[in-house]
Amino acid sequence: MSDEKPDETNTAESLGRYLKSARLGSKMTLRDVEEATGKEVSNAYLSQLESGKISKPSVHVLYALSTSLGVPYETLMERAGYIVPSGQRAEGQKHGKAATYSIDNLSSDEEKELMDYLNFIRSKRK
Amino acid sequence: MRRPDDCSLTPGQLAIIRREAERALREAGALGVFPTPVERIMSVANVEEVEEDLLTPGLLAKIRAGAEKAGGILKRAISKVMGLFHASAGLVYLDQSLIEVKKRFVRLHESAHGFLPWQRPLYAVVEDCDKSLDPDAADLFDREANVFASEVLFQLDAFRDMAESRTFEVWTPVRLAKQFKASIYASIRQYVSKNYRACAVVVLDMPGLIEGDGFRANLRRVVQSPSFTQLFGENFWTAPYYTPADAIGRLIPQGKRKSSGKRNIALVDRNGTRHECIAESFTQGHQVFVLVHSVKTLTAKFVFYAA
Repeated sequence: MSDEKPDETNTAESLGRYLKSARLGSKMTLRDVEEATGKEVSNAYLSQLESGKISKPSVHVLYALSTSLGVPYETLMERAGYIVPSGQRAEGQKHGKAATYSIDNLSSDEEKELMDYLNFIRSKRK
Repeated sequence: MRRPDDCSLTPGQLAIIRREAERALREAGALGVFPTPVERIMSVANVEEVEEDLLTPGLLAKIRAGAEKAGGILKRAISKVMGLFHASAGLVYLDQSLIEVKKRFVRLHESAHGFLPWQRPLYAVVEDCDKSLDPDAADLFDREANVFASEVLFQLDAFRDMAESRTFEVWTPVRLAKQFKASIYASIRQYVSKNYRACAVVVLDMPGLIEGDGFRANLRRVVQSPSFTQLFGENFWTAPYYTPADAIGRLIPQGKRKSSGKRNIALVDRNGTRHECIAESFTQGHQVFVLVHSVKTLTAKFVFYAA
């Protein structure tokens, strides 16, 4: 068994438990959530999510669920593994801190300096 | 070097982005307004452009303040960046040396990061902590921003509909580019990617002189229409470069010429069937665009079924 599988399963179960408790806390049925998301998330899909059978639903599904269930979107994204510690990406992978239109990926150092610079400019503008 | 894919989305993702692009155009009162009033889109995206260049005296002051190493890294970062959205401040920074049509696209790309409701809050969160978006999500967000920019710039299907009423040739997107205040590159991509014909555009870097080959033009990108992909497959053009020795290379305009005129070439689809195609090229001096479209099936395979 690979090292990654248990992590994925844990993430899925953790996200699923969180979603289920949020839904029950809102006193909503699976069908209520389906309706609240404008049918973007079907009750069958949500059921699979809650039982941990789906490890990484799409960003759009998580956004729709956060709005319908009234839970922080950032929390769902983190639990689904979309927000990760900085500096862990492999070479050639897209940088994920700065929203850029760039000709090449930024290294972690470059990204950090750029974000510091933006904060520096912002402080000067105030 | 061939550029990585920067705009592919699944049909579901594309539908969501087109819906958001329409919402932005509608909220900005920009539907049917040509060229798209980018400043109004930025306004509904609640983003503000910083007028100064990224390389401002502020940056230089910081570098001179003694942070030599950090300054070098920062300069390297800035040299890679054409546009930047500072989510927590709602500010857009642009490389002010870009040509105007490119600036319009980059402004819309950055506005997308601010307008798409599932993107902005995440960038704001990761900007100020030791976490990042995972690379796949960051890559998706960039492709979404590119598609959003394109859909807003070309007003959903308006460009396609206007192009449909004109002759199929490379000059059609070149002329429409002015009306939409878009780059020729973006206009040709839009023309091909939404065309019902089996067509493709091979984008090449400007040719360089090479001893022996005469010249060599590196493949930069290929854009195919859906029906072209269906016929010829996903990766039809795989050569890293073209020379006068091949059919595509021979179409590259020489000297001060801007275009090649139309010529016949034959392409073989993934079933081994030959198709008569018409190819023509155009260059604006930065890239060469070779537009190819299939006009007739030359040798078809026949399948006989037993009665």
